[in-house]
Amino acid sequence: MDKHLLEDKAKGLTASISELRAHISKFDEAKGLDKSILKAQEEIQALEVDIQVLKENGAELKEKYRGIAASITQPIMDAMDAILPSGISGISIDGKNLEIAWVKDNVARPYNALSGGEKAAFDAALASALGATVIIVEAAEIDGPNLHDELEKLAQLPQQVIVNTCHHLNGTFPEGFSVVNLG
Amino acid sequence: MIKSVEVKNFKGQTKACALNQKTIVVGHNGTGKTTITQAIQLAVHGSVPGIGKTNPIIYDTFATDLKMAVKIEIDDTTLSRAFNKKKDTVTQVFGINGKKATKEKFIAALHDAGAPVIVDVKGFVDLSADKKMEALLELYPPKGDIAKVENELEAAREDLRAKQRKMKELESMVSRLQTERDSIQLPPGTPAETKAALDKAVADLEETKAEINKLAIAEAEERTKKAMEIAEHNRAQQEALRRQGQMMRDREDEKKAMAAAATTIDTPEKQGVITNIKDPKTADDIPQSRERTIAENTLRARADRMRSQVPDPRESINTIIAAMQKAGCGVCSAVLVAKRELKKYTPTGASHG
Repeated sequence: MDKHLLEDKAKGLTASISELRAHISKFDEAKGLDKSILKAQEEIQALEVDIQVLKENGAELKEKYRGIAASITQPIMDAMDAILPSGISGISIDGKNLEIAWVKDNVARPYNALSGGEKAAFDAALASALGATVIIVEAAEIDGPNLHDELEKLAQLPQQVIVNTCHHLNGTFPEGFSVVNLG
Repeated sequence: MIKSVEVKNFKGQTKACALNQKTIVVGHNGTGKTTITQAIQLAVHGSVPGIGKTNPIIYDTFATDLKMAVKIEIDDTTLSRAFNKKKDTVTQVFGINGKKATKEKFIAALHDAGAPVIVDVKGFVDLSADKKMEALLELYPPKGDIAKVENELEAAREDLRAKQRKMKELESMVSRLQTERDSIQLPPGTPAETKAALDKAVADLEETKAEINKLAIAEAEERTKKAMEIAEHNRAQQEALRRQGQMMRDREDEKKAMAAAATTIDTPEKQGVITNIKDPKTADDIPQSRERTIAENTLRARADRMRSQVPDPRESINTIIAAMQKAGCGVCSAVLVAKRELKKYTPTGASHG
């Protein structure tokens, strides 16, 4: 065969080889990416399992924590609920935070958001729960009807109770109370 | 139970108030309701919530005379605290059942009397979270190690957060890789087919190169043969010229010898030597001395011209060897032959390329 023809053939083959090598490189690149994607997806699946387990463990620990916390808060709330004229107390422990609220009509109102009259009634309940043997109620801001309800509750307590008020009750106070009239 | 409370020069008031288990103290503003509760707190705790705990501060806040006192009656025990100011000093004087007592005895008597507990709720609410928890844990010991469980819970939360972060990173990576993967335009066919086509092309190329080399070797061998023929021809010509030159020099020497003999002995004619005898081949062609010199010069010039016109065979052979080596037949027989021929034109001891 003519040498020039052979050289042309060699050039053509060289170009073809170069192109085929580029094709193989593309296939390799795609294969490498597929492999990486698959590996990452496998890791994600393993993580999903881990996360599920951790969530379940976390839920168990949280339940355990709630149980222990409730062993602290429940007696307090029980003691307070015995005195509060309406609603229930809400005390929760979240980490190092202690949340204290008065729950009325399913609405929890934090201690600092209570009105003066509410705070007076709530303080009496909290003092009782915190172990006071003498409960002093500064009831100046408690209105008549609420004071009556409050006194009804306080009358049931075993502790000594002193209620300061500017309302002249006209004899309508629960049994067991005596009145000191300062004028 | 606190049965009564009594104050003297306390917030400008001096009075006593009997208390029961459940007592409602009624009065308009400023009539002394709060005074009674503050007096109870001062008598029991020695301080009033929200007011400083030192004697001078207590005195300055509540006293309206040089001597201020609060007294409570718990069951059958009367306990009192008096705050007396003398010059710039305020002293607290303790009393049990009307008699002076030390602070320690006062506290012991208070304890013996049942030590009323009056909780400062505002003070509790204002405590830090840790202090509040401490107070609660003291009052209501938990059924379990809450701190330990809390730490375990926090560790589990942190672990969870770390794994969730890792998962997000992986999801992001997969998304990026998928985009990259989608952007690749794959060539037609399968990798195996492409690989097979490549192998075939490589084999074809090798075969083609081998054919090209084969042709190159044949061409090189042909060129070598021609170069050797030219070299042989040149060598023959040079040899002929050399012989011709030598012959001429020999003739000249012979003539010189004959002339010398003639001058020293006799002329040939005198000696009866026949002088017209000619060389059977060249006698007629040999010119006289001047003419011979011209002829010699002419021959030399022709030889030099020939040498300059004919290419140096060493250069030709070296070119051929280089071409063959470039074509990949560095050790084939044609190269070895060419190298052997080259040696013939190389002076002894000289190297060739």
